[in-house]
Amino acid sequence: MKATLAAFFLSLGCAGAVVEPPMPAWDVEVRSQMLEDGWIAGRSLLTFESLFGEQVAAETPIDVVGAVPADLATDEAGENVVSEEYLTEYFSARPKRFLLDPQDLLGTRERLDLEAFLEHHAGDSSIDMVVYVFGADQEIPGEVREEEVVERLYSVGKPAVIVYYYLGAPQRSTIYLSPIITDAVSAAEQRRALESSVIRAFDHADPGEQLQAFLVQMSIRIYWMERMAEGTAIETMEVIPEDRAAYTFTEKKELKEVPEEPLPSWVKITASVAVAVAGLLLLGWSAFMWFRARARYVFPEFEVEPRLGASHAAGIGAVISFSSSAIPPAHQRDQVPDYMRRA
Amino acid sequence: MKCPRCVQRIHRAAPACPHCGFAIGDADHMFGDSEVKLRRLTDAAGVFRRNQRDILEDAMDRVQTAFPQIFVSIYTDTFGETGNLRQFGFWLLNRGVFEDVPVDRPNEAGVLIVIDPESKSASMSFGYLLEPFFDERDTFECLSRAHSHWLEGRYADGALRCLRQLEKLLRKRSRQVRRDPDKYEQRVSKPVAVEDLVKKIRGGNRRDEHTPGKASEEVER
Repeated sequence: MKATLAAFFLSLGCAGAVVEPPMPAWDVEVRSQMLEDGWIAGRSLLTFESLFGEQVAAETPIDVVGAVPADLATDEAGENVVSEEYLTEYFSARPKRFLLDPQDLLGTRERLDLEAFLEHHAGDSSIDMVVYVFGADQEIPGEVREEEVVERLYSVGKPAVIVYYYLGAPQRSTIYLSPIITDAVSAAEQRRALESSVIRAFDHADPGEQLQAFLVQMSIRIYWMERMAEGTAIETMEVIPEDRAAYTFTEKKELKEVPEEPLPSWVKITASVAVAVAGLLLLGWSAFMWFRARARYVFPEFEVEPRLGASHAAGIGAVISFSSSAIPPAHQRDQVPDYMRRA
Repeated sequence: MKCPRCVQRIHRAAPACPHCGFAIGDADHMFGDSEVKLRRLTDAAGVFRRNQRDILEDAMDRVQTAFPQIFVSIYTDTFGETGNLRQFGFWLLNRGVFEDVPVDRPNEAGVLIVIDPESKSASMSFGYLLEPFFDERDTFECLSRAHSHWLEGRYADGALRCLRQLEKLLRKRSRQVRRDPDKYEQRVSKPVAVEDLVKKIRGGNRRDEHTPGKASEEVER
């Protein structure tokens, strides 16, 4: 019975599925009207016409005007090259000041502070520090060769460390040494000086403070350069004009990383006296110990009557117990007979 | 001067302790009446290592070099519960024959340190030579220096400290004796007899009467 009913319902379902509803169709007039308006909603979902049309449109080459040689030349030179109007001020002659900032990249206050610092450094050190300040992304023109500038301007006169500093980009900085001390200070030492100064500069975020930190550290490193150059530089001072040759490295003051001022005379005298007294004391002590080791002590032999029938000794000394730390020697000062002591 | 047994004061030249009757015979009865041969460093208790013995002997040599009359001896042994270090030290310094001590240094010049690691006690005895210059307090001072070391079982270190203190005290005492020998001689000299004392007083008074200073004062008056 159940099987008969199931077969009946299955046959009804199959007959229903075979009969489909009619597909919707465009009204010709409506469709033509919408095509004239230019857009049929959902057309792209229902047909493939638009996709093919877009593909065709994408493959169409774009008409772009190519780069011309003039443009390429402009890009290569960049817009950040130091302007020619400043080149004379930068590189024409040896500057009389130690900080060159013709572009006024630094504030007035900063510049004054840095100039004061560099002058102070020049007063203390036998090697000047001359700083050329450029913008962070500026380039020195190709026709200016830094080495040539250094050789031309700094071959005579007081030795100097020339710093090309890019404000806000300390890592771009470069240093050059006067030819007179180039041989004395190794390239490795120069590189270390520059690296340590850049590291110090990066301790600060403000470009002005970066430059200040850079110069302080460089000043410290120059102190060590002085010491390295001390031997060789004096020999080559002959090529320096007389007015400059009067300067020698022996005049330098050691007021850098390890500031040392000449000791006052009273300190030297006191130190000398102290050393002499200490030596005498040591000598005296040594002599005393030597005499003491060689000294012989003899006691007078007095006649002592024998006691208790003993022929050699009756001198009874102390007895001390070390059985417990709770009984220190101080508590055993009063001697008692052995039979009254606890073992 | 004290008795080794009762630690009471006794007078000089006493044949026996007036308090307890102790004499050398009692010690002989306890420890033996024959001579005992031993070395100045005898470690019968076995508390010193070989290198420690060397160090101690060097220290003892140093004392003997500085004090040409004196020798130092160290004796360690276990005496059991009946240990009586004072009496033993007294007996050993009288009956001992120290083989490695020169003949010119008799036992009268000896300083004996006895250590008993079992009963954890130590004593110091000395001969007649040092009696005017050395007393119980001095020996106590020497032994006290060793107390902390012996408390920790470091017998050699303690003995070494004891010897150093002994040397220091003997130096000091030697300088004092040189300055004022009479003071130390009086400690052991025979007492003045009563008759002599009367004579001395009378003689002194007589001298005072005839002194020129006093006579001249009377004339002036």
